[in-house]
Amino acid sequence: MNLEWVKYSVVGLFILFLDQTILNHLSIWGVSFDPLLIYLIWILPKQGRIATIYTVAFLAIIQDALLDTWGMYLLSKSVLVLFFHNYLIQKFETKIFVGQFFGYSLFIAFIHNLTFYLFASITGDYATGWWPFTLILLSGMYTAFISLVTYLIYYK
Amino acid sequence: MRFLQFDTDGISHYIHTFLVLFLALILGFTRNQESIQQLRLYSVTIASILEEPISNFRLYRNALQTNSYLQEQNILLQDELSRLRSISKENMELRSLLELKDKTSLKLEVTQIVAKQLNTINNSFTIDKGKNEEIRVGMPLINSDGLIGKILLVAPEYSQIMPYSHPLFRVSAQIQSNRANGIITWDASDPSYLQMDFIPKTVKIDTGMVIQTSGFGNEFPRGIPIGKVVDYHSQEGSNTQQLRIQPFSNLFDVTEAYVILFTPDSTIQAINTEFNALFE
Repeated sequence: MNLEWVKYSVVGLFILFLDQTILNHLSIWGVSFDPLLIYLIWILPKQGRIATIYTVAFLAIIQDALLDTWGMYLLSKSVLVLFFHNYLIQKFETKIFVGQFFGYSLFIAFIHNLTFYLFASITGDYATGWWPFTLILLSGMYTAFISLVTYLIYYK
Repeated sequence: MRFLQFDTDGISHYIHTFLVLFLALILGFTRNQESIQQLRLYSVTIASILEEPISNFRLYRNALQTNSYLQEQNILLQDELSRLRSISKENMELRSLLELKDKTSLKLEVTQIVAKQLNTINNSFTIDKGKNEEIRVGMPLINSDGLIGKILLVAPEYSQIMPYSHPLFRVSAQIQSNRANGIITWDASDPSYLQMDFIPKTVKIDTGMVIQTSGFGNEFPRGIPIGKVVDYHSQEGSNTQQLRIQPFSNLFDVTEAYVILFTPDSTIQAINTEFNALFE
């Protein structure tokens, strides 16, 4: 029995714990990054799609519960699995450059945040104003930047 | 390009994916319903428990910031309070001076004491009025409590004052209640008090009697309060007694005062000169 998903889930839970206790205080001018999203970029290509979708769903539900955004992160992260799972498997088969990794991270973060924003708009739970700009652009860029930093640290 | 290229090895992957997406949609659209509310309550409680230790840290950091802010504010407020107290005292002094001006018929010139030297034998004040304001040597300086001193030197814009606490200060005085006359002096060995000499032993003295200028010296107008009797004793070998006077004006506190624009009567001065010449 393959228990890889358990390992990834436990690590994901630890990341959520860190996010809840420490990492969410690292926001800059109200713009924060999503550490779970960074983690997902790493684990997406490492499992089969079904294991990945349930691992992601489990962690996203916990994230939704902790941040009181029921369903939002679950939907946006599941969409990522649907769109990017096969794509990232192909890309991670060979070593990728730093710039490429940053580009993937940025694109994935934009799609994730855009999905989140669209779903939030439909359910009508969040205020507008500067929030979409902050969420989609700045938060996406911040997440991609932190993702790049972890990549550089990992491959140093 | 495999982006958006879905698996072709079976439909089960999509069933699982869309199940999860469906669950997300249900959660998103029903999050405000009562069944989810209880779940939200638990999740918020757990999130709060996780955040609490860091919140305490943040609280401590905020407390430090608040502390330094309050310390800064405290210094500013202390400074402001000190200035307000000073202004309040000045205000009270000016009010009492105004009351004095209303009560008296003498011509007064209000002035501010700009320099003060009270720790030496040669005590002196400097005021911000001088020759330009018709100030002349010998004019008395008073405040609402009583006599302070007299003008010693006059410059165009400033004047030097000889306060009553000067060894050379003399003023003709009288006891207000019985008009007995004497001369007021200051003794450096008893600096907080004045002395009044040449009061005949026949005059009955009591403590608390008010001493004022007599006007006999043709130097000060009559009736300026000087102080009150606190002690008295007979002078051996003479028919007079010496009074110990506590001055009404506190020279250390005074900041504003009036110069009485008093000019000695020239007729009296001329008669005195003529009288003295008869015995020379």
